[in-house]
Formats: sequence, C-alpha cells, structure tokens
Amino acid sequence: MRLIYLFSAILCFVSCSSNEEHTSEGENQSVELLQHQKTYVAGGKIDLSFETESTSEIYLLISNAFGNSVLTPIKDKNKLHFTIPKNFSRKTGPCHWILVANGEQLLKDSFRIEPKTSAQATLETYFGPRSITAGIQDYSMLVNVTTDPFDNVYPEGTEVIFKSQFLNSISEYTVPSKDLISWKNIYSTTKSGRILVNTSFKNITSKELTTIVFPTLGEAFEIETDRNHAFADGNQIMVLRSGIIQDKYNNIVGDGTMVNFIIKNSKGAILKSMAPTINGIAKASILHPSEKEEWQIDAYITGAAKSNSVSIDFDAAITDYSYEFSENNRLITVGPLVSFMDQLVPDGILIQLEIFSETGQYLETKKVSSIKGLGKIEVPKEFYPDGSYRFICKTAGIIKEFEVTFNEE
Amino acid sequence: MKNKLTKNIYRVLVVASFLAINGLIIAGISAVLSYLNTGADKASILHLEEPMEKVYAPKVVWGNLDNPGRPMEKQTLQEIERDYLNAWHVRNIALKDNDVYGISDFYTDSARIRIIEHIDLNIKNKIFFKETTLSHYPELDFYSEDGTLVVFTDKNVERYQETYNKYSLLLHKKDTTNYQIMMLLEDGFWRIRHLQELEIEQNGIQNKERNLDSVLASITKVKGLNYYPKNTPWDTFGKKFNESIINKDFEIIKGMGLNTIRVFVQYDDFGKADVPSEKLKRLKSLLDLAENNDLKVMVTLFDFYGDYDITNWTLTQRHAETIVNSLKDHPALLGWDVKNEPDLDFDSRGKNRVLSWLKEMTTKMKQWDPNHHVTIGWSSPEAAIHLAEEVDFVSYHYYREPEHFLEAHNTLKSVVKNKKIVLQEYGYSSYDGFWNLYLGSEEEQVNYYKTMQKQLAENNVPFLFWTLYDFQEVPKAVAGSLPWRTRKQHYFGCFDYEGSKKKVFDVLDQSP
Repeated sequence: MRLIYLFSAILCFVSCSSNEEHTSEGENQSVELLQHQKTYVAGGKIDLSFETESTSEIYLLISNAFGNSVLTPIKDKNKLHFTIPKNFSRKTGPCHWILVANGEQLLKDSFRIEPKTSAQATLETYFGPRSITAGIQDYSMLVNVTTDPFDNVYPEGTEVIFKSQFLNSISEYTVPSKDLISWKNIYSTTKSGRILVNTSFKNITSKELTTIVFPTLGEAFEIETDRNHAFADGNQIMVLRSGIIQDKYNNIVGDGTMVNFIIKNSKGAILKSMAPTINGIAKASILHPSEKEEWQIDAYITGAAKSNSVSIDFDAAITDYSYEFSENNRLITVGPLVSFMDQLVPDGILIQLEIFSETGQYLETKKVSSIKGLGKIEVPKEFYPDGSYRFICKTAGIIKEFEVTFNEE
Repeated sequence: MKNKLTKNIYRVLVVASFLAINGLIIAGISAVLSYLNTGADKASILHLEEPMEKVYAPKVVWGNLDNPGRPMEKQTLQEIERDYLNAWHVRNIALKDNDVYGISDFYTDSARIRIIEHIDLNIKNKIFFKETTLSHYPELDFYSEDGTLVVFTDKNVERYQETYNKYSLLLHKKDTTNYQIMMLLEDGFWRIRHLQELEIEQNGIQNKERNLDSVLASITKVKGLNYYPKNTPWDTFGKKFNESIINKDFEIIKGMGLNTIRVFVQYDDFGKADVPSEKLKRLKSLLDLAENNDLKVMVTLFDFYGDYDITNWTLTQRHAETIVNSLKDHPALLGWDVKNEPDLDFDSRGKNRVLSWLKEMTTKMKQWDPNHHVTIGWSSPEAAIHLAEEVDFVSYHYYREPEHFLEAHNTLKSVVKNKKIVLQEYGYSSYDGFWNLYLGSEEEQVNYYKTMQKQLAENNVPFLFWTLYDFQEVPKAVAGSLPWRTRKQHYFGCFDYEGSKKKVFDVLDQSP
C-alpha cells in the first residue's frame, strides 16, 4: 500500500514537472490554473482551482467520451474552485476542460484518468460459438475484458490467464490485452465432449463457460436387414438397421442424424424409408412386398456418407389362386388365396381386374382388397350389357386371363 | 299566468337537463369504449422495419477491415455502421433534449448508466448541448468468431458542438477526436459496451492541395447573367426541363458577348441528402449545353434552404457532396456558390447559426473540389465582409441606386483587400404600373444599366446581371405575395414575355 502511495506521489511529481505554462488569452481576464496534476486515478476526488482577477461569470466546460457538462465555480476571494462530478472522475481516458467567460475561451487543457487498478477487477468474458465440431479446424473464441470497479477497461498489455479443460488435460495461457480485449482461440478436439474454460486475473476468476464439441460428419457405414421370413406376404414389417455410425475420429455421430434408406425394386421403382440415429444406430422399417421381388438397398446420410449395398430376395407367398363365377357370371370370386403354409392370407391383398370389350378395347379396372382370403367383384348389367368380355386378373403378381359371356335372356 | 310561465320554465329545464345528462352519459360511454380500443397497432409486435427518413448522415469511410478474428461480412458491417451512427444520433438528441429516449437501444446496461448520469447532471445545472459529428473514419480491430462482439477505432471524428447554459449560447467549438469502441450484438442491435477516447496523434485528414490561380484569373473576366428559362423560372430542373429551349437561350447569351451564367440548385428539389440521379442528369446536361456554347457556369447550391440547424448539417453536407463530386470535373464549371443571400436569414435563424453552417460548408466544399473556387452570394456589399477569409472571392448583390454603387463597392474592396470581388446580381425592373405609381419604364431600366455598365467597365468589376427574361410567373417563395413586391419581379429581363428584345438589350449587348 505504501508503495502505491509512493508511486502515485512520484507520478504526480513527474507529471507536474512536465507541465507547460498556462497563460490566458484575454488580457484583462488573466486566469491561472493553480494545480497542475495531469493524471488521476478513477474514482478519486478531482478539484480544479484557478486564480483570477476577473469579475465576469466564469464557467468550466468539461467533456469526456460519453458526454459533456458545464460547471459553476465556488468562489473564494479571487480563487475559483471546481469539483469534478463523479460521472467525469470515474471515467478513464482524457477529460477535457475549457474555462469560458462571456462566450470566450480563457483556458483550455485536459487531464487523464487512469483505471483504478488497485481495487478488485471485474472480468467480463464472452465465449462463442458454444458448439463446434470435432477435428483440428474448428474453434471457439474466448474474449476477456478486464475492468475496474467503475467499468473502465484496464490498460493495454494487462496479462490475463486463459484456462481450458478437456478430459484429463488442462491448458493455461497468458494473453496480454490489446484493443480493449484479450482473446484466445480454443481449438476443437478430435474426441467429442465438452470443453470448459475460464479466465483469471490476479486473484479473481471468471465463471465457467462451456463449448460442446460435437462429432463431425459420419463416415461410410454398414447396413443390415432383419425380417421374420423371406415371403412376399405384403404383411410383415422388415427392419432396416445401420451399424454404429462414426465420424473419422471414431466419435459416434450425434443423435438424430437422419439416415435415408433407398430401395430399388426389380421393376426399377424407388422405395424410401428413413430414420434418425440413436447412439449412432438408425433403425427404419418397411412393409414386405406382396409379390416376388428382389430389392437393392442403400443408405445415405445426405451430403456426408453412404453405406454398403445390400441385396435381398422375397419369395412368392401366394403361388396360385382359383376363381369362379356366379349369378349369371356377373359375380367373380377370386380365391381363396392361401399363403406359404396354406393359411389364408391376411386381409388386404390387392386384387385387380381389368376389363376389355370383345374387340379388345380397354374399359375399366376394378380393384378390391381380399377379405378372409376372398375377393368378390361384381360386373353390373347396367354398365356391362350382354356380350363377350375379356378379363385380366392380377393378384400377388400372378396374372390370369379369361373370357366371359353374359347372356341373361 | 305567472304560475303557468314558471311551470313552463321548469318543464323546459327538466327536459333540457334530461337531454344533457343523457348526452353526457353517451359521451362518457363512448369515451370509455374508444379508450379501450386504443393501444398499439397489433402489427407493431412484429417489429417490422419501417423505412425512416434520413435524419443523420455523417460521412463514414471504413479503413482497414483486416482483423485477427473473423473476416468481416459486408452486411454485418452495414449493420454495425447503422447502429453505431444511431448510437451517436440518440446521444446527440439526449444531450440536446436532456432526455434518454432511445439510449437503451444502442448502449448496453453499463454504458447507458454513464449517459444517464450526464443527462441528470445537465438537467440539474440547466445545460444542454447541440452537437453533431460530421465525419468518421473507422478501422476494424477485432471481430469475434461467433459474430457478436466487435472492436474498432474511429479516427478523426469531427464534431461540432454548441453549449447552452441556462438557455443561452455559452460557447461553440469544433474538435476532432479518436475513439476506440467495443460493441456487442444483443437481441438484434449492436450496442456500445465500451467507448474510450484515444490519445493518439491527430493526423487530421490532409487538405488537398488547391490550385486556383488560373481559375481565379478567369474570375476577373466574368461577364454574364443569372439564368432561368423564360417559362420555368425558379424551376430550371423540373419536369419541364427542355434542352432545346436552354440551348437556344445559351446561343442568345453567347451572341450577347457574355461568357458566364449563374444557375440555382434548390435543396428540396434536389432531394435533400439523397440527390436523385434524374436531377443530376439534368444539371449535367445544362452544363454540357453551356460547354457547347463556350459558357461557364457558376452553380449556386442550397436555394430555398433556410434551416442551418445542427441536426441537419450532415444531411446538407451529403447533399452538397453528391452534387460537387458529380460535377467537379465538368469543363463548363466555373465554381461553387454555397448559398444565395444567406444574410437575409440572420434575423430569423440567428447570425451565429448561419455563419457556422456556411463556414463549415465552405471548408468541406473546398475539400471535395480543390480545383474550383467557392464563394457565397451575399445580398449586399455590407454583408459581403462576412467570411471573407473563407471564400475564394467575394460575391455580393446590389439593387440600390446606381449612383452609390461605386462608393459601396470601394468600401467593401478596402475591407477585403486581397480578395477578388464579383458583382453577382444587380438589375432594374422595367415595371410600369399601379403598384409603383406608373413611375417605371423601359427607359428607366436603360438609364440604370447605362450608369452601371459604365462604372463596371471603368473599374473592371466582373458582373452577372439579373436576368435574361421577364417572367410571367414568379413563385410566392421568391418575393412573397404582396403585389407591390412581386409585380416588380416580373420585369427584370432584357427580353419580354414574348421573347422580343427590350430597349435595354442594346446596353447589355457586349458583343463587339
């Protein structure tokens, strides 16, 4: 403490001695500044005193970076005392003053206010971005501003310690301030996780700040299928599953990474299913086809990664079916449809009947779903008068063709 | 009988009070209902951007944008600039009105406390400040990776300030300061967090070298007139702008042996701070036509502008800068006249206010165009002593008796000594009618010009007379609406309404 007093005393002395003479501009209004201290510490008491013979009203115009004001003196015989208000004495930087009388500038000078470094500092820290990706390129930036109790920035070159922790390692750097701030890039790690940082200055530390290192983009991955049986019964659900998807640093990709399963069937049509990953695994489902099929399955993470290609066959569950006519041939009953164990197929197999005229002109397609293994299609006489028709029945990929004659008279 | 009358009076009173009470009740209910229906427009929740009229436009030139942090994006830079200037603007207003409205939008919590303390002190001491910044030269120091923190140095911030103590002007001054600023992006606004004045060397913007000798030499040879087209006086660059009419007029002027014209650019007409390109194109084409006819053009800016308030200094400067920069290389340009007869605004606006504005504008115009002269068209030889040091040559107008001209001219000459002087406007109306008791005539005009031209020739005074044509219409803004003032204005020309020569033409014809 004594050292500080001594130091500031020397400082005063030095600054006083380096001071130039102040002379007034007006001749009959000679004014003299009584003390010549050029540097003050923020928050301290600052008084300016002048000696003058002038009787006119004298004001002190004072300004700093944030604003200006005009002060009225306390007169004591031929002395004028101005007490600098706290909004000026607490703000560091140059503080300019002009002594004014009758619209004329009598004296003009400035003094400097230094931050109060003897009191406890405050650390203002800014950290961002708060999430980065694993690897060697990405980083977060930690910015620190050291201020005194009056919110003044510490002088340039103030050394601040930056600390960062990841898993078992704690790093420490000393960074001098420049342009009001001191800053450091906190680089990402190859392992995903959380990096904790803080800054410290003398005996105070900032609060803990966090950035999350997310895994980077997934790499090529494996997929597999899982199904109850290999029959194309149009009823069972097949599971499409990826292996554990990882980035190039072997971090499991973030939950929710969307995986698209693209299936190409034997007719060239594209089927699609998708699922987000949980713990690196994406699990999508798709219904078995209802006829004999051969599927080619690939999976993608859009813009990032591709899986191996998987090929899978489905055997026909329905190998054949019968049909019969009733009610003057106007009611066609398809079935019973039986599956691989001769069981009735589950309801909902599509039965499709295309109707052509005698001359081969296409007339209509009738579609029904099977119920209890049977599909019933009626050909009403209002629409189809007596005559010969050709029918093509398509069910479970099996095509049957037959001719029917309606003759009710 | 009397009883019946009283009864009637009571009846009337009862009915009237019944009606009045009902009226009051209805009025009350409707007031309550309309009060409940007031409030903010629901759309205001959306904070939609509304285009604002420009209110503050200091010159901003960004220097170095390289910084050790994130590369600066163009759009972010615009946003930072906008909010930074807004911060200055709201502070200027706060210091003027001692009201902190808007401060919280552009200063963070800790920073705004400082401004509030200043305002509180100034309210207590009954002080306010009118100030504006005129130019900023910021350079980027740091821009953080997450794009929410920026540090930059604003160099050579020119500021003009007037201090008012108990409602009277205490002092006006201009200073140049450097600042270092840290701004944070908070809920869509860039806000000032730290504002630090820097004590670095003032390397003020270097004034460009001015080389005016040859231009000034040509000033002494100026013979010309103040020009408005016959059918569109005080609206040269309006919708009726017609190149062929102007070209014909210029041919006549050239035929009269004259070499210079003076034209007027109106502040409002030319779009205030944002000068429309259409208007500039017309002004340029007028100069092109002048060039084709070997005429030089003296361009008078800020016609019909009369505010001079500090709050629109930056707007007037952007206005002038745009026009000056687009014409400064034109071969027909003789020079710039900052303002026509500004001394007439001394009474209404305050002499100090007008002179401060003129001084600053003159300085700026000299910087923008170092190769042409800048002058001010004072309304009388007595007013022309103002700012004589600032202008490149002195211009004044003279509409008084020709016999006293030389005396007034020589008095001015003795005061401004080393400056050249131009008689920028003079003339005489040939109006002969009721409002001047039929005392005027074309002969009177001829006599006036004879006397004047003789004096001007003998003393080598460069002149621009008023004007080419008699005008059928004179706007109210020029001479008011009193007929004994305006009628005169119609007959100052050397050609009449029909475009035929008046008697005075021969006196003014300078062709050999």
